[in-house]
Amino acid sequence: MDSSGIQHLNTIRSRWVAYEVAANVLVALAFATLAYSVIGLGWASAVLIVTLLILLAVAKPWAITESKVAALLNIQYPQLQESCGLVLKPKDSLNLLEKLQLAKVERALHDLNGMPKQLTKHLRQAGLFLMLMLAVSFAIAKSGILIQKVKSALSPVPTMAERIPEKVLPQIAKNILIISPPAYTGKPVREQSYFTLNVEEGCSVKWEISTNIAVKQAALVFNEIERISLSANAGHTVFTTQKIITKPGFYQVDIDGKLSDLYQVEVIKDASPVIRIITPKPYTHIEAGEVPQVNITAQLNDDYGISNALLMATVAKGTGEAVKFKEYKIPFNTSFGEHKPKYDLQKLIDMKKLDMEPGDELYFFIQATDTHNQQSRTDAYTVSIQDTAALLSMNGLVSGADFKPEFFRSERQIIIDAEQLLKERDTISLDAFKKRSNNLGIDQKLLRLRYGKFLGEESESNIGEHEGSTLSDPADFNNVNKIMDEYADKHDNSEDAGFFDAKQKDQLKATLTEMWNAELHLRIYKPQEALPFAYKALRLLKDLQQKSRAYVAKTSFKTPPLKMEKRLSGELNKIIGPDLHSTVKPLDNPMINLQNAVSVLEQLKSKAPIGTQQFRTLQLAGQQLSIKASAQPGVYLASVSAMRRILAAPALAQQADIGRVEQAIQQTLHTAKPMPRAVQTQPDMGISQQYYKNLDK
Amino acid sequence: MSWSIIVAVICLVLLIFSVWKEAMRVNRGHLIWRMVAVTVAVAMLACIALPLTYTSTQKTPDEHRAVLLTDGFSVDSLKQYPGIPIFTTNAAIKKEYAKAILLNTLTEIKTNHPDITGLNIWGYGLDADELKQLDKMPVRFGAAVKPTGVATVNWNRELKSGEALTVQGHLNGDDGKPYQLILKGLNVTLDSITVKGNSDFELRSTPKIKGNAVYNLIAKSDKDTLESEQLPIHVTAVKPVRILILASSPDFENRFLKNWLSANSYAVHIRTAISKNKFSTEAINASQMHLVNLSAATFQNFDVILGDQLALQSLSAAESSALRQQVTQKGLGLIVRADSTDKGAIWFGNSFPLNRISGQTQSAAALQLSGKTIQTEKLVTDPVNIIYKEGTQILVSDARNKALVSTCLAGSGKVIFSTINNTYSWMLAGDENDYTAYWSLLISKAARKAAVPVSINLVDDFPQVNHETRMQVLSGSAPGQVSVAATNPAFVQSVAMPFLWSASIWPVKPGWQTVANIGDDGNDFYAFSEKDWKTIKNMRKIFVTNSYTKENLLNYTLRTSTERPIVKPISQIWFYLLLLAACSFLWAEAKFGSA
Repeated sequence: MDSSGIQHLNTIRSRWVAYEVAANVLVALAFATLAYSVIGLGWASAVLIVTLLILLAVAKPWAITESKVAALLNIQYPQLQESCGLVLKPKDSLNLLEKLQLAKVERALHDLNGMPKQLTKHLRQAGLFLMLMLAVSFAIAKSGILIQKVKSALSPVPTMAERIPEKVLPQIAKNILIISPPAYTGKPVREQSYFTLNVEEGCSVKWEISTNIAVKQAALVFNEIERISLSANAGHTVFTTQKIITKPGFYQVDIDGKLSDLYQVEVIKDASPVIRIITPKPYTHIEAGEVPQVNITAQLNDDYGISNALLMATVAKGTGEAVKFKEYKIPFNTSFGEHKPKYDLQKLIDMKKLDMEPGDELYFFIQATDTHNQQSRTDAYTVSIQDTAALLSMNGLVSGADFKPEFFRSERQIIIDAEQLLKERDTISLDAFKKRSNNLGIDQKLLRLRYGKFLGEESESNIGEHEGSTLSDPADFNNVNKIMDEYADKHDNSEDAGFFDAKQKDQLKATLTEMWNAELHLRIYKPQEALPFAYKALRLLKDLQQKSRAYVAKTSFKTPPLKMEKRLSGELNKIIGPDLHSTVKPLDNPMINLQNAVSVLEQLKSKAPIGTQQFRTLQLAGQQLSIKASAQPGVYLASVSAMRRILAAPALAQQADIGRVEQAIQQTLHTAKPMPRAVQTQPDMGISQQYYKNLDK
Repeated sequence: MSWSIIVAVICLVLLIFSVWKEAMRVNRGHLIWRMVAVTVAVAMLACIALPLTYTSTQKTPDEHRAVLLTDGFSVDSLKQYPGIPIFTTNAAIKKEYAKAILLNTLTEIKTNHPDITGLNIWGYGLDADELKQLDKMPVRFGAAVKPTGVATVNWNRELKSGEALTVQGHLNGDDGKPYQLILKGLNVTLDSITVKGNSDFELRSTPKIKGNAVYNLIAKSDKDTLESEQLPIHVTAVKPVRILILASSPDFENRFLKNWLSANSYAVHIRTAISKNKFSTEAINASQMHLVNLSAATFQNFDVILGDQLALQSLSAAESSALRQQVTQKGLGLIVRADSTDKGAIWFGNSFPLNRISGQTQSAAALQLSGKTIQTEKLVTDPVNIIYKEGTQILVSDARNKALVSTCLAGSGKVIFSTINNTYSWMLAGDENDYTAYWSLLISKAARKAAVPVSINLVDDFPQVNHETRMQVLSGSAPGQVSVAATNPAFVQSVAMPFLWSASIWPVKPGWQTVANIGDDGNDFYAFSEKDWKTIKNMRKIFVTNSYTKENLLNYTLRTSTERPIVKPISQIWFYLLLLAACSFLWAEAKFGSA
């Protein structure tokens, strides 16, 4: 009995919590409905979840306590006598009066029927809100304000048929075109009720033409040449045929010999996949000492879908005649099963795995295939690893001039030692490693200082010669020269002035910089990182050494002197001068009919009658235009129709039709080139000749 | 008359009575003055009652003039002619200004209104034919404001295929206001320009068609179309010229030129020296010819001779003189390509002194062809240029205006001297346009003039429907049954120039008028309708009317006038004033005189 009050309170509390949560769900639903009508289903579900989470976080329905419930009950029900809180208090802490009151309250609680209206207040409000939002969403959806926007975004270019109403033969009651796009497009079959076609290449189009009266026969005439008869049903009122559209042009419907207007056939060509290599650069050079690997990132795009992509790599080993090529086909890690129109590809190529050594080169390109089996490939990209063997060889040095070979050897020696040290790294102790690295650093420093001398740099420490001051010798007391020598800087010593030109000095300075860097890394026990700098220093030194060489060309032999009296004195009687004759046929100008048609049209404009010859010119021009129209129906079809109307009744030709044909002719013709020509003189019975003769006297 | 007597009697009675009253007055002061005043007052009353007149002679000009309204007149300008007859020959004006009298022809003025001796013309004026009808009648001309639109225009109506159509003219309009001019051909806009009012314009386009066509010139001010006018043109195919190339050795320049010319159906002969007195000859698109020994008869077959300097120098004396004679006497064209040999020996050498810049190597430069607005692609040229000499014309120059190709007259022919020897590199670079432009310029300039047996001209540049147009035929013999729009005009031979035949033609329908049975095709002309080129017609009307006015100015002060007696009334104000003065005196004397 005593717990029944608390139970009752708990029941009310849990219901309250449930109502609050339900209210939040309804509000979230309301927002989601609005979102659905405006931006679509996917977004709506996101809005639902986000809104619900926010509402719950703000309202915290689980935070409703029993005391809050008790307070509510106190307000709502006077019979509880403002004492509902007693139920929550522990029994033991109650005094007698309170216990009595508790008993009363519990009874009252038990007698309470129904719930306080306060509990469902939010729920009811939320319900109302939802209804309102539903109404608003419905209004938005029905009014079509947003639908139109979405639609226009989907098909930005309205097709020809949507813009111009087609003229259809009166016998045709209904026409349905079933267009089955080819498999590579992945598009579904669609239907249209107009004749103008704008279809993917290779589409299969089925015509179903219903006539309002029985018709003997019907056919489609493509580009005025190809004729396809339509098969009729038993009642001769429904005609069907099918054709695979591969090229653009135009067609007409022929019903019992009566031809319809021209309908346009546009073909959407499938584009080849587009490949864009983002990294590496077209030519990548991996310096000795760098990690021999290359990261390839590429982006593939196609209008329908990509079925496959491969990395075609060729490794060139060796030099000169001993060069060998090895080809690899490296697949990407991405799967192309989904035939998506866009892929981002990545591949890390480890040169060592391709068995590449310094001096070898890697050529690669990416080849992609789309769902229509169209392939495209990129240019070849080159990755080369620096050849250290040639750099370290002594060829050319042995025979070379005296370019301090011992210094050069030292740099080479430092590299060899550093590599050796790296190899032994795992076998020797850390201390020994550090020590050897440091020693190499010292060697590098000495080398740098020696080269620095060529540039007139001063030595910064007592290397070699300074064995201590000699000034302490009493014999030198007051020896000014000696003291000056010891303490003065001799900048302008003529001996120090280098024999190098400015360019060589620059290169030498660059070499010293590399040496500095190599030394730095050796001193901080990172011989691996010092290696690229050491190699670079070596390469620069070798360049310097090559530059100091002189080249002397070989001498040629001397020709015996000509005898001038014998020159051009040979017998030429029997030699016959060649006499050629040829005729170059001028190229057929297919445009000549169009050029000539203009003056005929000009005559028609002034309503002058035209002769058969001129009519023939117009006909030929019309043929020329329809050839153009079969290639570019969008541009020329209107003018072909206009030309037909003119040819049908030249005397009644409309100015607008003539204008349209003229416009097409102007667009088709090429600009004539100015060719050499003679000026014409006017007939004057020789007066000007007479004048000239008299002038000349 | 009776009125005068009554007045006189009454006034006399009144005078006597008044004088008597004055004389009888007690105060006899100012008697004389009062007498005078009374007399004056009565006399003035009489004068007022009897309006006095006097007769005098007056010079009156023989002014019997009328007003003639033409297009563009302003109604405001008519206020100064009350009671003067206003004529017009234009029904539209009659509608606009109902008071005007509509005439069929201007001759009606003379026949129906013989007293009219002068005309005040308002508006754009009359055209030459109408002015003739006035028969020297003196006029005064109040020209209308200059009409807005294309005031003058010219274009090359007879074009050769590949030749650019150039439309030039002057646009009338408000100063500083922008106007658009659009050249349209075959319904396509070909060129356009925005010009300020009262400025010149030029539009260009190369027609692609053959035969007759009508292009359009449209003048616009913002959205308003001021004028849309017809530009009839006729495009004929180019007639190939015959060319002989003389080469001292085979080279690329000649080879490319030969290929280009022959591909375009030109007749080309080449004679290339391959050894001493040995030549390789070639004939393309023409019959073979003996070219080893050149003679005047051989040269007669060609329009242009093209040779390098060495080839011309190595011609024998006979060949050389034959060539010279052909050029100077018969108008043969000669194009010479310079080389490093000394050209002092050649007869035309003095006209083209060369300036070799020593120490300079070949350099690439864009060339400026004469008559072209755009420079060519760059071409590597030798550091040689031609020093300008009087009597020569520069055809091609480099960016620094140094002459590279120059021409001079040699008798009736022309000699072109060129220092450029590697135009084929344009062809190698795929630049056929520059190559074509260069050689077309040179060959067209040099080519022997083609004689045509018949040529037809129209005197009027805007032949108009239902207006007379003079057609001139230049021909050695009488033109036969020439038909113009299915009529046969009668040609009259000019007395002074026997080869000039002229006829008058009246086109009845606007548009192309077919001219047949004479010369080649393409002599058709275009008859404009009445409403075409209004602005130009109005400007011309203003001009011819102004010049007519200068000769026949309506100026009455210079003409004789007759003296006629006229009766003039004397203004009554004087009588009133005197009456008032006299009465005032009498009143004042009566009031203050007694004091």
